[in-house]
Amino acid sequence: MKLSVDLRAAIALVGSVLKYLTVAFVLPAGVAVYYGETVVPFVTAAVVSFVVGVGLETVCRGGGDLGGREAFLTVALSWLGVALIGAVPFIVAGEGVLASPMSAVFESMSGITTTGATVVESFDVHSRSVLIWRQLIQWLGGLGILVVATAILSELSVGGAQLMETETQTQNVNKLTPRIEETARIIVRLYVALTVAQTAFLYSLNAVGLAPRMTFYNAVAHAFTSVSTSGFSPEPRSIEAFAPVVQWAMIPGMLVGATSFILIYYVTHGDTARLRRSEEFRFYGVVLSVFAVTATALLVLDGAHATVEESLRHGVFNVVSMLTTTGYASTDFNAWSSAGKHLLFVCMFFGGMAGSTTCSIKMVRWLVVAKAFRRDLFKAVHPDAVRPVRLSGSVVDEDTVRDTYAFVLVSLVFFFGFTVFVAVDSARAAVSLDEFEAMSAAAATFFNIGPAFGDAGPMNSYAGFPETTKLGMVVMMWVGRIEIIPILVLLTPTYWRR
Amino acid sequence: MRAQPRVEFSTLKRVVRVLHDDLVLIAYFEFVDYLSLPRTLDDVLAPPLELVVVMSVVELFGRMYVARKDDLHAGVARLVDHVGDRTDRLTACGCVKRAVGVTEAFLCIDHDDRRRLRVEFHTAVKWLSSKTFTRRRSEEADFYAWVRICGVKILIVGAGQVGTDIASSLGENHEITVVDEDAERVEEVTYNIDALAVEGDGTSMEVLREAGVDEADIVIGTTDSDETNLAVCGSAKTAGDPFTVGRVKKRKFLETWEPSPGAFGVDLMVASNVLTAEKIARLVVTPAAHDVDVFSEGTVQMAEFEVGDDSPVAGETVAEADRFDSLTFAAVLRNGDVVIPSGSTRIETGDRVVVIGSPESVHSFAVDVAPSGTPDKDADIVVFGGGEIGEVVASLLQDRGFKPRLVESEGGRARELAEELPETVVMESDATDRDFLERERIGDADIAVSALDSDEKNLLSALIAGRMGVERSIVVTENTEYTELFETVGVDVAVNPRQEVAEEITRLTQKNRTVGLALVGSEQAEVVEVEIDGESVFAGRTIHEADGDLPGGVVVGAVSRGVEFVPPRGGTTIHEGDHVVLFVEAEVHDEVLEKV
Repeated sequence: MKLSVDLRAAIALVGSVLKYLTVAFVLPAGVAVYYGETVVPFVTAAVVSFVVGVGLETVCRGGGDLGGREAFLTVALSWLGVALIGAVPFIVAGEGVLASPMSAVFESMSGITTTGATVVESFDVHSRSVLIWRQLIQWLGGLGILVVATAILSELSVGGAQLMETETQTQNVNKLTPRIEETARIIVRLYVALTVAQTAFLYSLNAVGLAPRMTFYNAVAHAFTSVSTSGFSPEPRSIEAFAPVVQWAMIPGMLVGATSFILIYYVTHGDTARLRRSEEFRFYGVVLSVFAVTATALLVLDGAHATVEESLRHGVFNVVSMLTTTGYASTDFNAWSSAGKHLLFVCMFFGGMAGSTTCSIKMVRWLVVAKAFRRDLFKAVHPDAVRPVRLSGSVVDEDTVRDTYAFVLVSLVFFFGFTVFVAVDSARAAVSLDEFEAMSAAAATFFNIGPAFGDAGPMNSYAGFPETTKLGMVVMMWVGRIEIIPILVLLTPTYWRR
Repeated sequence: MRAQPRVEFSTLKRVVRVLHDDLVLIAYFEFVDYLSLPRTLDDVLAPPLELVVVMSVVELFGRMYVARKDDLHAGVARLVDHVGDRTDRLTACGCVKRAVGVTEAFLCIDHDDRRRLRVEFHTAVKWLSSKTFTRRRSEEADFYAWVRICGVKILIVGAGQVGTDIASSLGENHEITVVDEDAERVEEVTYNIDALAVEGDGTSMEVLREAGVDEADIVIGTTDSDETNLAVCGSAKTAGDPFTVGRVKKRKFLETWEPSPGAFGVDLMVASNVLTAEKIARLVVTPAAHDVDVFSEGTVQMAEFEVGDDSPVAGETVAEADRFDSLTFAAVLRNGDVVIPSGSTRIETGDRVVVIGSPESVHSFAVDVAPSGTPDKDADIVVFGGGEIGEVVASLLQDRGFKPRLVESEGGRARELAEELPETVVMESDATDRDFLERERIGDADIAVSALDSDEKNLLSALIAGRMGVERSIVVTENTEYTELFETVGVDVAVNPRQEVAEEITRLTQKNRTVGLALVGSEQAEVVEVEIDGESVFAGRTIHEADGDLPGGVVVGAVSRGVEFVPPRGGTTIHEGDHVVLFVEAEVHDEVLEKV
């Protein structure tokens, strides 16, 4: 049997990705030198990364051009490869829980998929350089997904990408390179600029004396994980550790990260009218406001916090954090009333805009589903009506509508299936877990949120889960991050056959 | 000899249209003081000339009089025999010139201070005529006659309905050559029309040469195929420099041509589907109207209304009903007769009235005359047929804030329409499917527009819709003969694309200055629209004052200020930025334009 997919080309590209990953270890190594910590973990990882990368490139040299099919494979394998190599420093450093390979891979996959679910239980045992690597890998994950989603998947018209409000999309999958390069360059510049701005903003709060704990180290670390909506924090108490003003200041960073970067690009080029025109953006705003207001109201009613300002701050912050799939916590929302927790749980199913660093189902899909369903209701009354679904004025073709329905359905099925897995597997290992905890842990990993409720709550960790559950979570984070389809496609026989 | 009469005149404003089978095509002129044009009677009588004229005195937008064709005939009836020609309108007109003395009987000249006159043409004076008229003046009678010049070489490709119509109406005075591929049609033309008929492919240069394209002044492409018509115009342009007219159905050609006139080698493009759709859209928004036309880039409208029971003007006299600013009651049509309204004419239920005025005044009149039928933004309008006419109607209506329903039977096309027209509810169904019509409560609709692919289907759908309770039906008829029939059997308004084409060609040939080449002879004239700048003789002065500085042979026809129509009186002050429509004789053309 001859493979129809050009394995060589796909794997060689994964090799290149790993080769360039080597460069990323410069930062934690630098931090290690600065703080007088050991650079061994990062040097080791860099060597592994470089050797594997160049090795794959060499072995698979001579592949053809990268086409649509190869792109699926490359995307899936790149995430997996980076996650595995990203775990190397944790293992080599051998600090605390992360010394275990399973936990290290969990942490690394949680990082690269911008999830923010952690197995770290005590932060004191970790060196600053390892913690900054944990932040950096999330930042890289956000960057990777942006490039893949806006430049590559949009060209392939899969996932939610065809719903993204980009310029005209080409159908010619054989000539990806020029457009990908151009788009990727723009997105990368924007992403770096936003990160720098966020760092400067956070550090300036420290500089004017408002946020004593927001050191330069923390400013960089949090800029990395807020713009990428991923949610790791080197602080054991997440954002609770910072002054109220910092908590407020973190909100815009998450919101920007959850906004379509293509939209941000246009806005930074003076085309602010696009914001108003974008139905997805308006929908995002409305959903966010509704949840934030409801959460605040609940907190005020429950009297969970001392003042209204606190209720408002924690209500808005945690709703934004969950809705944008970031996973920071400004307070231990595990302690909230059942209503409040369930509200946050529902937030997990939304996600931000398509073309952002967020995960989960995303606003645009819900919007399309809502519009398509409203159309179906209209058609129930007027069976002969022909009514296309429109998004920001342009017609969404019926295939895409169907794909979107299917994606939402498949996501929910995966979520329920995975919930059952988590519950059953915990029972098998005699770990006590109630059904809400199982559901939240499944959603928090599959939708790449991060913290769940109960034992996996924002101030706790996933360390208590059985190893098999952790492995399942690693896989689901991977599948969820690249939006299911590119991985499911790999499982179909037709993908491999001619 | 009597003193030289001091009647002056102004521009031919526009050939308005055929009001009714019984009525003449109206064009109106304004005669203004001080610009006398000395000409001898011989000039008037110099052959070849045909035409003219019933004049009645009007103040611009004051009152317009309309003459019945029978009256016109009566005045010249005995002369028809004299000529020994058929008593069609052309010959009747022809007779006028031969009997200037007699014409005084029906040429009524106004002697009031304003001396504004209107001139009515004869029905048969078709599209070309209005361009090729030039004016003459009689010493004996106080009128100016408009003389048509003959002998223009016209090449018509396509002997279909429109082609044959044009050929037969112009054939007697011009050298017409008709080209058609169909041998039978060619034969028919040869026998019935005074025209040379050539059989052959109009897109072939050889055939065109044989038909005399090198010599032609005007080439008209009017076959059933848009592409052929464009190819004809393109080919003709390479052979000589005729004025080319291309008739198209499809909107896409118009969309290409409009921003760059001259594309395809077409000097004048007439798109029947678009014209028809625009007409329907006008009819929809003007309640109770049977016809609506626009002039002067939309600053002047003319409409025909039926007066219902509930109309407040029913039972009123014209003088009583005349409470609308800048609106003229032109005619009342009663039982097929035309009543020229005077102030005391009583408007009765069932009459049709013809009014002319600014769009606002026409609309307010429409709302007044048919209070129940006024379509607001919630009006339920159903369009049957998603062909090009249906599509353009729906798109024009949604542009005006309506949410029409559009019924198309073909699935793919329906989807396409639904994507094109966001504010329109597109339904995929047969327009005559009763189940569908009942399910969708089509009977509750205010207006049904039928634009399906055949006249029969249109009639059927309109009748079914009418039975179900739709208040007003507008139907497209391809066949000219059906227009009247349809209106008799219960359709409220029938719109004929071919007629729209004919009317539009009339308008465009007037507007288009390059048509000058269609003028043969020494006395050419143009109608030009000029924007007044600070250096113009008009700037800040009254028309009366400015006239003093202008040579003879120029007349102010109309003034528009922004989107407003300003009646041009002697005392009207013209400001910078106004648009002035001038009638200018060719010999003073340069001088006038320089001063203006």
